[in-house]
Amino acid sequence: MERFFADIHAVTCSREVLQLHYKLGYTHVACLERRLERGSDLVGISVVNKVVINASSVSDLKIDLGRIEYKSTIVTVHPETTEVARWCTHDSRVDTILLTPRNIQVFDKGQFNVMKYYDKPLEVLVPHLLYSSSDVKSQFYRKLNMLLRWKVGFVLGTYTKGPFDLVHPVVVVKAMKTLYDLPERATILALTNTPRQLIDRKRVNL
Amino acid sequence: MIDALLSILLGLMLLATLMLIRVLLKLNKLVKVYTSILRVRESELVVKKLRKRYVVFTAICEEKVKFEDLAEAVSSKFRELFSESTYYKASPQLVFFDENTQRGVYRVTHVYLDHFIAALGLVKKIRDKNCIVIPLRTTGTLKKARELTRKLRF
Repeated sequence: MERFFADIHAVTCSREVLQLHYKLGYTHVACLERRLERGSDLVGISVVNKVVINASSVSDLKIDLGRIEYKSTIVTVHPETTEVARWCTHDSRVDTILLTPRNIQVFDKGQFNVMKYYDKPLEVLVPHLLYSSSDVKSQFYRKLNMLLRWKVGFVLGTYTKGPFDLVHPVVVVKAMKTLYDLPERATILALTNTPRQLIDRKRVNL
Repeated sequence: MIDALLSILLGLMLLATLMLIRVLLKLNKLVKVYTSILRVRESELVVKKLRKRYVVFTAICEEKVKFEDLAEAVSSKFRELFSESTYYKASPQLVFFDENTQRGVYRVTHVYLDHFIAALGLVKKIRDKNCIVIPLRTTGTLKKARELTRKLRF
């Protein structure tokens, strides 16, 4: 099996989870809680740290961003207001902007325009897309199709907490095609090239 | 006087006939266009032949799962995601499942292969046991699929 997938958002990265990631074809993983020690011999998989900042005001966001080692960490902002969303889009320390059912109203045409201008990818979590209620799914459907029309890059994270939370990347591609009418090419890019480039920039091999 | 009236009447009749011919010609054109559109739509709708596809998969679970439990979990997931009508059109059947190696083969209609792979991979629980089902390969024959269940490494 060819391995070229990248996971931009894994919660736990125990040895067991990373081994399953590798078996499923992932080569790059960004992790919120890294439980592996440095020097562990996990061949073929690059793991980087990841931070998610929940921000409701610009001043809070500025303070949080000041504390983070952004050069070796994937920085994701979860904006709760339109003001924060606009502000974090043009900040070069921020790598991705997280879209969840809680802040879906923040993302409008204007936001996508700014994101396209500053080439900032949108991050969406696979469990939100696959296991939410029908109302949430319909909101995601509209937003994702708008995103594609605007030609803004997006990345998909698995939000893995344990080995049984992982989903095979091919299954994600097929599910996006059948449930959300997204072209396979766009989903494959969201699971391969775009997240891999982001992780490679911050890469620290274990 | 009568001659003039007759000539006017004839002229009017001629004009009416010409108008009628023109309308008929336009209608004929419309009928032709609609027939061609209908033909194209029918050709799009009719699938020439429903082919079978065999999906080789493996199940990784907390405990080993049984044939019936797996079949039940996959079919209910498929119905939940894509409705009953798509389910009977896809007609997925668990052809073979080795309970020791936890590998098996599913047969499905080629038109709904993508739907099936999505449903298969999204099964998370089988009889309250945590599971992930991984589609490994798709083939066109059962013989090849059975071979792959033995040969494929995961």
